[in-house]
Amino acid sequence: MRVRFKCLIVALVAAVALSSIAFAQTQQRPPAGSAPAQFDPHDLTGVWQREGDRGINPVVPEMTAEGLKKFNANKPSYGRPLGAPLNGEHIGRVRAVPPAQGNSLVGDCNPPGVPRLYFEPEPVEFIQAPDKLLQFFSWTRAIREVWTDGRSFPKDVDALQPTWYGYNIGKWEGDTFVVDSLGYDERSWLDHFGYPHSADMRMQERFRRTGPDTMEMVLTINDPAIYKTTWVSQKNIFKRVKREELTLNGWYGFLEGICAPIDEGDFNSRVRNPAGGVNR
Amino acid sequence: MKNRLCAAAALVVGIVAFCGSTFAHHGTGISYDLTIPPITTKAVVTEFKWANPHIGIYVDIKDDAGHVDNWSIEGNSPYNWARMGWNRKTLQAGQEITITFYRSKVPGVHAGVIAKAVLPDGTEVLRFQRDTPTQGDGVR
Repeated sequence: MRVRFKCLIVALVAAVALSSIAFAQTQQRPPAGSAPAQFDPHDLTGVWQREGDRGINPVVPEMTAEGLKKFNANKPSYGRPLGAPLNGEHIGRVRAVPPAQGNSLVGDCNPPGVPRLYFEPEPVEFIQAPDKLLQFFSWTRAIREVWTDGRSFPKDVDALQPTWYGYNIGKWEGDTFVVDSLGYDERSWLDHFGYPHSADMRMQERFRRTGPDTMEMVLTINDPAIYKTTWVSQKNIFKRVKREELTLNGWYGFLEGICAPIDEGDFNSRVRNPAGGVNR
Repeated sequence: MKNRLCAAAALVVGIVAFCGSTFAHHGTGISYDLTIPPITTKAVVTEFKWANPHIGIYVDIKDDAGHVDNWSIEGNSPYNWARMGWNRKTLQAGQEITITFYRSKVPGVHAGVIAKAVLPDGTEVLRFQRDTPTQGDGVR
């Protein structure tokens, strides 16, 4: 009886050890010929926070006449005040007006869209499903679907509803997850500085895990109606958000970051508009 | 004395530089004058509205002539302030506090953006920013 019990214990320990190894093998797929990685480069799941300055890239491509027209029509409230010294920066960084005098659609709780939503100081969760990757943005609780089921873009996309978050197709190129997208609503801004895009914009994001808790992404805007050359972003660094940073009163998870017009309208009429010299 | 002056100058430069990058998320540095010293005064809370994406603090403030005006003070976002340890019970209507805020650039308007508040027991709350500011703090 005692021998049988010992055998059972040994078998259990062995089973646990073997299953751990098997699990580790399925979770970690180091590229052939390189040192074993401590993370699976094909696993983007988790809660991430982008770091660094907002915006795509301070170096902005030359705009077309149409691009300039749209750019000048956009009145952002982020950046330094309109008319401040340029200090070698692009004019886009120096044209902020009080929100009450601006025209960002987000000021009335319209969707930020992407890529603008990446630049918010709130995290995004990546959830990988067999046929898609879901991006769950804390701010506005927006869900973006990136399809990985091998599909092509919709036919005659112009006939479909324009989107704030794109028609998105994802695929792996080695250890880089590449997201190509199109079909964007031309009313959204690319970022907080009010850079415009057209309905024909194509965007590509290239994600790459760089460590157990780090990921980088470079995005490229291709929109010849607005920008004369492609606009390649700076390297966006994402860091994994620790569980305790998202735990309040013992409750883990995103706060409900919804921009409700009933609240924002109240705030605008009582604080923002008077502070900006506008009565409405 | 020289050290104090240097410290004060460094503080002002720091605040201005800091505000340029963080207060300006959605025009906070544009609507309010962050280049002059903030106002610190006694105030009575009339409403503390904890809502996304901007928290509103409404207070009665008595001027030197004894006249009371209701001021609208812009706060940070629930996301940032919750992570700094504050919540919708941090202030309550009727409470007498000491509030420090920067005024709107518009003359005569009773609006501002908070720097901090001090409760009757001396607890400092609702600092606009974290102790260790990072890019990304602030309101939208």
